[in-house]
Amino acid sequence: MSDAIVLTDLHKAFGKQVVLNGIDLHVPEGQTFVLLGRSGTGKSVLLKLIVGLQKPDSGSIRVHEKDVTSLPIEELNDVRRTIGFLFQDGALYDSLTLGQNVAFPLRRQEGMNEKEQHDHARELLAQVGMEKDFDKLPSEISGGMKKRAGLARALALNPKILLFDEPTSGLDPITAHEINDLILRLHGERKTTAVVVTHDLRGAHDVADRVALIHEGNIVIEGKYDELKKSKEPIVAQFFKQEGRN
Amino acid sequence: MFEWFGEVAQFTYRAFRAAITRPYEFRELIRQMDEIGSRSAFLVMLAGAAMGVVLSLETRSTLIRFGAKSSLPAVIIISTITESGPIITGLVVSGRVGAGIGAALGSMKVTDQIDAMEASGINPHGYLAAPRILACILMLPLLTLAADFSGVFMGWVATTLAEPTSLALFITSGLKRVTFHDFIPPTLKTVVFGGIIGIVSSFQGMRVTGGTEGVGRAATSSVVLSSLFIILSDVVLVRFILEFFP
Repeated sequence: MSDAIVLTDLHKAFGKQVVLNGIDLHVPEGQTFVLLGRSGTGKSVLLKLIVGLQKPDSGSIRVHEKDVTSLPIEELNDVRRTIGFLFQDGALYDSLTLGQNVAFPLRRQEGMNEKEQHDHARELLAQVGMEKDFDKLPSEISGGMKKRAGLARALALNPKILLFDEPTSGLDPITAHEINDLILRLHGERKTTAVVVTHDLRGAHDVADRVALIHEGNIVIEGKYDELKKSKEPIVAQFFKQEGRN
Repeated sequence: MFEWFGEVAQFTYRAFRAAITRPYEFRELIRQMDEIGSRSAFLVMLAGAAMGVVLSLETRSTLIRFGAKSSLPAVIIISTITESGPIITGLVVSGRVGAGIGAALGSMKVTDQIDAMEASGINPHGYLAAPRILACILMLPLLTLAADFSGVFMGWVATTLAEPTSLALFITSGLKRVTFHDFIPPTLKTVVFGGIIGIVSSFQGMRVTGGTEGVGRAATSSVVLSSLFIILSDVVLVRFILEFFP
């Protein structure tokens, strides 16, 4: 199985604060990879690096064999269109309705007129159970609905890779479970590669093919969820104990 | 400070490059022209009207003192169209629109909306900054005409309240000494004011850091900096106009 994403010796610091300190990571095609870690350990930064929103200080990031750190902007945009990104709070455009939000990435799609874009947006909203909310503004819906609408928008360009930044944070357990089910269902239907950044252990257990724990800028352990859970490594054991209580 | 100017220059280059690169954002441009132009028109006309009244009251007593009362219409018209109208329009629009652009783009930045746009392969300079900058550039001369019109009209109202004069006589005697050289360059210089408002406010908005506090700072600095640069650029532009359109 080939790798969809390969990170090699990745370093990133903001001023004196080192966030990533030599990360090596392979995400095989079609797998759901969950990156666990406490808040502020650079998990979200890692996702922004993968999609080229930030530049690493050193190291390489290959997405489908292309090094996104050195691509010219036009080619980087081509790579970005193969990636769907669900931001932590949905990042919906607040002046647009949900339908317009989901149709927004389709504006650059050649050979798709406005009606087709809207029909496709409606279809995507239906896939996340929000067809009737097509004309609502982001300010009129709840946090969980924002995440679902954000997910519909992330799917608009039919991406090969999906990046999820804390998809269940700030949600009640039932809604969080619904979002995890949705991620699982979409993964089953679309066979996309997914990277999920979270500290939600239940979510990780539900959706992950493989899991890694990031701590102080390094990946301290990687494997199947149950392997990590059984690990005697003090940092890993402590993380599972602490997060298991929450 | 040099770093700031360097970043603004880079930002301006990106925005103008995006503006002349396909796909063109005509719909967004029209929306921004409505937002910036039509919705500022009343405010600008009100400010122009107040300026016309003040000009009439102040100038009248001075001209009477020098026995040049008959020059009052010309003085009001010339000073309105050459300086008061353009600068008042620039400052009023920088207050209303500059703060609006800075806050709107700033809040989009802190809620990851701009990152989401970039992550889906859409250039935020093209969609967000370029239409706002172009709308400011296109609308400022039109708003200046509105300010000039209401300034001259209310200048006549104030004059006729002190000493009844017909509007036709006021305009005819005032325009006798006015040429297109007095009118066109000062009106067109507001294109520069528009550019300043659009560029400074969009730049300040799109570089916000630090959450909602940062958004507030961006709104304030957009107004302060664009007003300051309008006044400073006016010095240069007036000198330029006197040199080339004597």
